[in-house]
Amino acid sequence: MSMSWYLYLPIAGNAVNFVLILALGGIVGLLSGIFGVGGGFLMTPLLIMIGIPPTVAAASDSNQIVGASTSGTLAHFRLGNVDFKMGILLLIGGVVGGTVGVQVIKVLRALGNADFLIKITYVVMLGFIGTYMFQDSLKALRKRPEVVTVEAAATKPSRYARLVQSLPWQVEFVRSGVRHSILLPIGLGFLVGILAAIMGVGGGFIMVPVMVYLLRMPMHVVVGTSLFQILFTCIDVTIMQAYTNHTVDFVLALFLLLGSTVGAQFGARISRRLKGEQLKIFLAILVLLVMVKMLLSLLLTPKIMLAYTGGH
Amino acid sequence: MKKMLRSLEVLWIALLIFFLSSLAVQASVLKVSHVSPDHIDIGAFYHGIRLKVTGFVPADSDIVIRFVGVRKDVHLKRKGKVLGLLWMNVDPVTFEMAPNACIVEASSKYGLKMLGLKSLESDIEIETEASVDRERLFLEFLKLKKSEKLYSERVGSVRFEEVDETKKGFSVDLVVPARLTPGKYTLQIFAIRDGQVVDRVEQVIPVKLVGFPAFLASMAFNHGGWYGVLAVVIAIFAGLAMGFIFGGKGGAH
Repeated sequence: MSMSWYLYLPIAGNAVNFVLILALGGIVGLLSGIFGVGGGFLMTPLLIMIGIPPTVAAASDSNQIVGASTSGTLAHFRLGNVDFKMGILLLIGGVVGGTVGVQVIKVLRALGNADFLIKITYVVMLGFIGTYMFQDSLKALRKRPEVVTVEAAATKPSRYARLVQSLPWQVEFVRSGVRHSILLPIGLGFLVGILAAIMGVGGGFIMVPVMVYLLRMPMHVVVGTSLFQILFTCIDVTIMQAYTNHTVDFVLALFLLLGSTVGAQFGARISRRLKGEQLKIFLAILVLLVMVKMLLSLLLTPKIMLAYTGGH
Repeated sequence: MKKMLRSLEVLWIALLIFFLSSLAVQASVLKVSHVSPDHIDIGAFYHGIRLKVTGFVPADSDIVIRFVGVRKDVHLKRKGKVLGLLWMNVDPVTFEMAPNACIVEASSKYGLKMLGLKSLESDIEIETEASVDRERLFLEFLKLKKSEKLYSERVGSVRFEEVDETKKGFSVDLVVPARLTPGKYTLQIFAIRDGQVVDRVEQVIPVKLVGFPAFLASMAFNHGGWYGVLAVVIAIFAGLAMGFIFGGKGGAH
């Protein structure tokens, strides 16, 4: 009792063990450093589990991600993994899409059953992305030396590639080593922004597959660029939440940050050592696990038949 | 005639004395001699506190002590099955004027039955458009609050000590949860006998933020925008600092 491991968080309105918060931050930071995803879809449920109100958990996590993605972006920037041009274009699309998404949610809430749609979107998106990435990387890991996959990869996207190439304003993205119309990242960013707003997350785990499969960027550049983009999204979310809902608990965020910045640094290094396909398959497994958890929460009888509103 | 009036007067006075004396006995049945602490300060290291209450009750009565929070409407969503398969938040439910916290300590099971958490049902109005069993909704509400440790009830933590034939001393350590928000809380002490409250005493326990939490909360609630900007700036600097520390040491190129 004499030495207190607890800190009282005035915004969350609860006391928490700060060692536990450091550990949570560390684990999620490690994952976000490896995969370039914000980790919001993992951190928020974990925080709720230890007694932080859902709205405070989500908003404080955004604040934490600002710090985590700063150090992550910096680490990846040093390794030459950030495509700023692509990142900024995606961001422009993402911000516009996010704003539209928030309006979409408002309309759906008014019509009722928005929560149902949100959860179904989650399960379908996660299931689709996870399964596709998993199959794709498995194929690549198995048959890497053979010519067959190269041919398959070359023939399969022809229709999509032709469409993409027909778009105006083609630009060279040097870091990623690809050539696209600037409309493509803006458009894709817009779509991800809508989805992210509906699902209430940073959108990193949708953006990563979009960059890999639709923008054909190399995996390491994808991770760095995704972190760069998450940084700006979360700055926006933190300020908006602090201003309108007063749900940002800065002390909580700071402790999560201490844990996660350390984790993110290690994560970036592990990410560098792993091969692109290995990274993809791990991320696929992670995405599928979250999908299964979500699906179970839809199917199993809940322990308590009442819930607070405002969480994911 | 005069004599009769005189005797009536005497009767009145006798009745009055009897009534007043019985009142005096009533008032002395429950006496709270000590509540410590009598206010709660939430500082940076607050994580729950023991509220010590001592006093006297009549020898033949039981006691119930409640620590009741601020009453406010609580807006929740009811979960239900959609398409006969998937669990969803279906419709909104409001629990009107439900206390944000309620900790009950009783000297007997029967005391809990009278004044425990379930007794709150009578003064919490449940507002919902759905045609559902309100009693079951209320039980789910208790479950939710208990899972947050904001509601709790238990028997057996009250200690009695014999004083004389008419009264006994009591003492109890009421465990105030870590998850506490500032406001005016009320300590309620009831002496009960034969299914009746024979006496009750109430004392307000103010709970307030002090020190760093107070500073932070006033920043967050009164200057939300600046607080957000500050949170972002500090997060970025912390991130950069960590990046440089690690970058310098590792050199992972």
